[in-house]
Amino acid sequence: MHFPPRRVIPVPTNLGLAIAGSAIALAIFAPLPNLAAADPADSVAFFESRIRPVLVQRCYGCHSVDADEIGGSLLLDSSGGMLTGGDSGAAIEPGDAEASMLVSALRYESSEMPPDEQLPDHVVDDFVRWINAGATDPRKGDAGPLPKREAIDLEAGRQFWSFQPIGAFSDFSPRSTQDPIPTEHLPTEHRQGLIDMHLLASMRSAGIESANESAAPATRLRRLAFDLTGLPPSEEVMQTWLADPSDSAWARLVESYLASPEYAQHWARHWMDVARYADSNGSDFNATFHEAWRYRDYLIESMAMDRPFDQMIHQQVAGDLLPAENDKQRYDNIVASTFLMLGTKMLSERDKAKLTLDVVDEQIDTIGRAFLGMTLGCVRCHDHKFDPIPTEDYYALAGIFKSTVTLKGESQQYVSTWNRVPLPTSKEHRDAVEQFKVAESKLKKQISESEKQIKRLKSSGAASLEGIIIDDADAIKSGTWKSSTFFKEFVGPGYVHDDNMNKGKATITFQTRVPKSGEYEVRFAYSPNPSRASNVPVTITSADGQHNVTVDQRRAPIQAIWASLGKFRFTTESDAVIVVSNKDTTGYVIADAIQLIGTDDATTKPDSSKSETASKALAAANEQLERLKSELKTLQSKRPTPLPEAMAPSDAATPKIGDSRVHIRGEVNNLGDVVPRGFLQVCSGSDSSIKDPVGSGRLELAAWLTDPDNPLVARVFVNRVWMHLMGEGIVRTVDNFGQRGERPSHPALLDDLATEFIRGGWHIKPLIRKIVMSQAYSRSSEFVPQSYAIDPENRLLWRGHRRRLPAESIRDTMLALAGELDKRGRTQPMKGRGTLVSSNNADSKATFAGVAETCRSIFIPVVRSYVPPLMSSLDAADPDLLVGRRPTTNVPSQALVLINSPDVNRWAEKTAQRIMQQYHEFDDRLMATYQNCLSRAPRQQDREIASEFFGGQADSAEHWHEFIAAIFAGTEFRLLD
Amino acid sequence: MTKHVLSRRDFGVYSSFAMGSLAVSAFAPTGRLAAAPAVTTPHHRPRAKRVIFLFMHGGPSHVDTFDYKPLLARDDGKDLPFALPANISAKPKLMNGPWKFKRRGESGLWVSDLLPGMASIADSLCVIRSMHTKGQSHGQAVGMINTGSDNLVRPSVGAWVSYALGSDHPDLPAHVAIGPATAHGGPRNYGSAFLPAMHQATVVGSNGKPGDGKIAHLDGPVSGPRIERRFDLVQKLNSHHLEVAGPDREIEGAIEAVDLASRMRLAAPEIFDLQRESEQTRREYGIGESKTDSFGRSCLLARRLAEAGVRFITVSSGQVWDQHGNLKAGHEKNAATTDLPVTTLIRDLKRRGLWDDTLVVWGGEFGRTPVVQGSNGRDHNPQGFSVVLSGGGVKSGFAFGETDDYGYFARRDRVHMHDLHATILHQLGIDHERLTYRYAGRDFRLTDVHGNVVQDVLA
Repeated sequence: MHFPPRRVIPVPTNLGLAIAGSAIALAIFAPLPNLAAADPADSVAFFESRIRPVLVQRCYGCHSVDADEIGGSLLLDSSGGMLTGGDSGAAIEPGDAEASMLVSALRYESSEMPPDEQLPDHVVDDFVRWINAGATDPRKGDAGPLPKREAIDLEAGRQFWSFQPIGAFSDFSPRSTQDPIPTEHLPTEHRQGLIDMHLLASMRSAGIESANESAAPATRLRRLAFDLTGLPPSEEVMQTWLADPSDSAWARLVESYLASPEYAQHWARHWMDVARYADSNGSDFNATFHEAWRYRDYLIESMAMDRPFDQMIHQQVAGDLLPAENDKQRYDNIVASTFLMLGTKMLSERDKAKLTLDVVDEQIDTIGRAFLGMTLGCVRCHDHKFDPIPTEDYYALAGIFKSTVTLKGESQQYVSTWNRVPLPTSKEHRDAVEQFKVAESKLKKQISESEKQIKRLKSSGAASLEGIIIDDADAIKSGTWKSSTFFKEFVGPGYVHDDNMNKGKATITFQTRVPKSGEYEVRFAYSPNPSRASNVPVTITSADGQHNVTVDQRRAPIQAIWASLGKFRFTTESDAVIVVSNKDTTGYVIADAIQLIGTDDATTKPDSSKSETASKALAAANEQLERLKSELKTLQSKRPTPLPEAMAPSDAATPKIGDSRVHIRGEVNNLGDVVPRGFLQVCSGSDSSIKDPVGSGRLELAAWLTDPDNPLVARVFVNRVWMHLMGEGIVRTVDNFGQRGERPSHPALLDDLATEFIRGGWHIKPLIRKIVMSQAYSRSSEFVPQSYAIDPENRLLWRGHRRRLPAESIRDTMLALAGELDKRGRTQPMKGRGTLVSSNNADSKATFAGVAETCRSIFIPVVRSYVPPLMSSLDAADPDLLVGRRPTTNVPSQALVLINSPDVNRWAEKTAQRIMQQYHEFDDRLMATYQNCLSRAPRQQDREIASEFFGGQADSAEHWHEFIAAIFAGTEFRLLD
Repeated sequence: MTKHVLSRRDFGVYSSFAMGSLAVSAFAPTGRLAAAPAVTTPHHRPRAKRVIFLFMHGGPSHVDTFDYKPLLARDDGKDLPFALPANISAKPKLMNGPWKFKRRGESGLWVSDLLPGMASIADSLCVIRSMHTKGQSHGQAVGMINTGSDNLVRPSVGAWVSYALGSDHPDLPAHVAIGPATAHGGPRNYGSAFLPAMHQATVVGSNGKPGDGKIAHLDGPVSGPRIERRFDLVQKLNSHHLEVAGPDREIEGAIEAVDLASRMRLAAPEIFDLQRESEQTRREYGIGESKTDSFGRSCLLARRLAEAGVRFITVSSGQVWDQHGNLKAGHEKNAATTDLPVTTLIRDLKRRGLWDDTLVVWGGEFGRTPVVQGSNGRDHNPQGFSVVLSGGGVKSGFAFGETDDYGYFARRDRVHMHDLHATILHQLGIDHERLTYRYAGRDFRLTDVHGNVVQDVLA
């Protein structure tokens, strides 16, 4: 919402308040007890003196018909306006202030109004009283004319090109036009494919005489090799091809590249851009995505086996819900649904309701752009301003994702973590893990018991306390005594208390016979606390008769729990008896233990037999503990590998599955109507809601996305493939097929390709094959002024687009030339990382496997916030965003990293060394340099530049190093002609 | 007033080819040059040419620095008389801070003893005491202050300024971040998101420290005449490629980028060399003293970059101001490292006549609670806090807005983070509602659909 700065609102003369703005402010904010007493809250006078001035002064700026922009479509300048309300519904409920939106806004509980400053409490109270008294309002009834937003006309919206059924434009195909293509425009017979017919027709009607010829064979091969595998052609393949650059040889090349593992790696990376793939969360709390790599490998495998794309959509949107025939299928299904989880999230958001909405929003936005080419993010707050997508459609989808568990639990206070789903594994593995768990928990329990026993032995007095101990457990109780261990310091297994009840009816008698006659100090153990009795009577019967002592249990003078009762003489002839009573006490009476400690020569001699037994018992217990601990250690050293799990969603528990309410303006607590779960109305038949959804509705969503009648999904995907091969999409805004996106240059071609794609079973390889076999794919990028004058942007593809290689290809090529490239895959790139990829403080110095590794770039972990400068400066996809089409930038930092980074420098040096070792003549070395780095032979001018640079020092390693380094940093190396 | 970083210029030795009219039109088929400023004519009279943002990461306590609340002393240890916001770990028990507040300078601005340096220049400061923002945790609030969004990926303030105005130096980037944090969003807080990549900050150092004080990869593994030869050969190869290829934006752009990189290599070392300052100046910034050396270097570098024409410079303290416990020791340590350099920076800008058109912004992502956390700390407080402005056409010795009696909630003349951003752009001559960039079918703004210029703080 927009809040203009506070303005002085002209005071309407009919108010009869001839005071200036500032005086009104004073009048509003000064408490006016007399007036309040004078005017009842349901009187017009109350409204005029207490309510209207506040509305005029503080609300009309944005909420009157004269406002520049009416906030939230809410008018407060008439009684009707207040009752009708705005986007959020009625502003007031007369008679019920608590239910009135206006009051919660003034209290800053829903929206915060007025935004610049909260009204004083007594003013808010006036509004409460006014509304509770019926909201008397003498102003004219009806709301002023509010410029109502026009409802979206879905039928009109369906006329837009991208919502038309696929095939709608095929009628305009050149095949069906009356005017046949003149033969001179046709390529050689066997290449008269669909693509070339469309493109040549469009060129012809634009007046472009002829398209460019095919590029030189070496150029064509370099293009094909990079486009299909992300790597340059090998020397052998180049030689074979140059010897026979025929159409059949081309077809064989295409097949061999499509079958290579490098193809799968390269094309998986394309979809990873769209899937905003990363191995960590980034954002505020850079949590490690330990399991994301499984999704990456799923994509590589999918490309390799040419998994149908409709199946991939099913798996990515609802894989966790799909039935599976075997474990492998189940694994793939679950891992594919990691797609929904990969977005960057503000995990430490403390308002979890808001966080959930933000996560759902990210998922809807991703699905919208990735599959539908629709920007749905803005529909969270209002109807789409350009496309026929009402807010209800957004919340129809939101219901599906709110019924899906993405976040689950917290990794620390306030910080959310995500859902995990166990993956299938062998029975042996599961059994081993289960057996281990049982054995481990059994040992741990034994250890804990053993530790307890040792503690008991130590504290029971037998081991640690001197003298004679009589525990409460061994005392004779009369009346009610309750056992307790609430306070943690005590002798023996616990202590007893009288529950502060039945005073005078409970006694506890500690009785023993001393081993030697003489004088003893008698001590009494209890846990002191202010809730205790301060006057506990204790009677001691000694050899000299009875003695009465009173104990204050609110304190304990000796150590933590002991108090001395005095010294008494006991004999071996009669028992020592100590009786604790709760007679006449206030507060809890505690009895834990009595201790007798000898104080004269006769009684202090240690009783060797007793302490010996005790220490033996303790030693045995200690020994057992050590043995158990060592057993546990041995067991844990043979811990089986943990059961595999995926970062994947689940459906919520049944009671939590349901439709979503509209969140007005996207606000968490501003709720509108419930919308049944469903899809976009504009590309659905009569009813877009799900009938009897099973679970969250993701299965139905996947089915809707892959329905051949869905006008967007196949078009959007085919267009992405086209862009990767031809340099630009038929729709250049590949993620936006809406009003704000570009229109297709060749709608009929797009439709034909999409139709064929669907009919062929959504296979990607045939689509790629079709495109790279066209004549258009092979056209040279040569600049032709006549064609340029007509079509400077090359929308009609009269030439090949010259384009930048992806960052991955640039790095991989350097590594390959340096002889370092290891094409093997890597798993578990984040193994060993903690919850966070790095500590979340200012001193973090985390490092990650980066460009210096020897693997292909796709296998370098994508750690958000730590994308290597070489990759980011060459426009690798920003993992924070969905990137359908990578930008191509030229910035000084890119030049600097290419020229000055230690890695590029090292690869250049190694490449130079290899070439120098392999060849010894200058011309051969130069030839090898150009062939290896640029897939072409040097031209005359190249030779001149080289000889000038070398200045006769043909054997200087330094010069070769510099020469290769310059080629690596040069434009030809990173551009694809 | 603006020289374009990547504007077309004479390529000198590298432009051996002739650029016909055709080539010129090929240069920019989509219209504007990528690097040309978006705002060629200011929307209104600018009051500042550049911004230095001193980011006090972690959240300094406003009630212990610039927002004097006498009731905190009176009610120390008592319960907060109103409800706490949701989701915080502090107790509802008020805690008076250990520092005395005094009226300072002729203006009588309240500043506590914690920041004696800033107190001594109170008459040059403009304190907004009614800031509020989104985000109870660092991540969100750091995103808000740096990018205007607490949850979504958006361009940073500096990227927007770079996009709007470009650099005022032919060989330097428009946007530099000194010592940015790797946590709480890391590069996102100085990134370009969907704006062209060149608007991302050029980074010097990390996590509150200027590091070696240099731009990365400006020097490489080889140096001297060798690196000169390498640059030279790259340009020769590129020029030749352009000749063969015909007019091509990508190749032309690359040639310019190498040219700029080369010139940056020559220009930057002098600008980044703090040794060129007098011994006395360096001492004034606290360079050479263990506590102030790091932040002093950062601030002096910021001044040199500002002087040279960099538009937006962020100097980060590192996430040090986050005293959930030990408020006294922690804040005193942070004050000891930052207060002197900040004070000297403002004085130095004045001395050099740069202060009038340099907007200095001092603040954290949020403030701290007036209630206690643990026994002697304060929790995060996005509901109300202070930000300090200086120079750049804002009032001096002036305080705007109020929090409640205890400093918890911004109450009077509330200023949202979006309003602060609108105000920063306004001082640079930019209307925040007119600075837009189309992405994913929508025109984006730094202030989203919010933001009002805080007219009351403008001089």
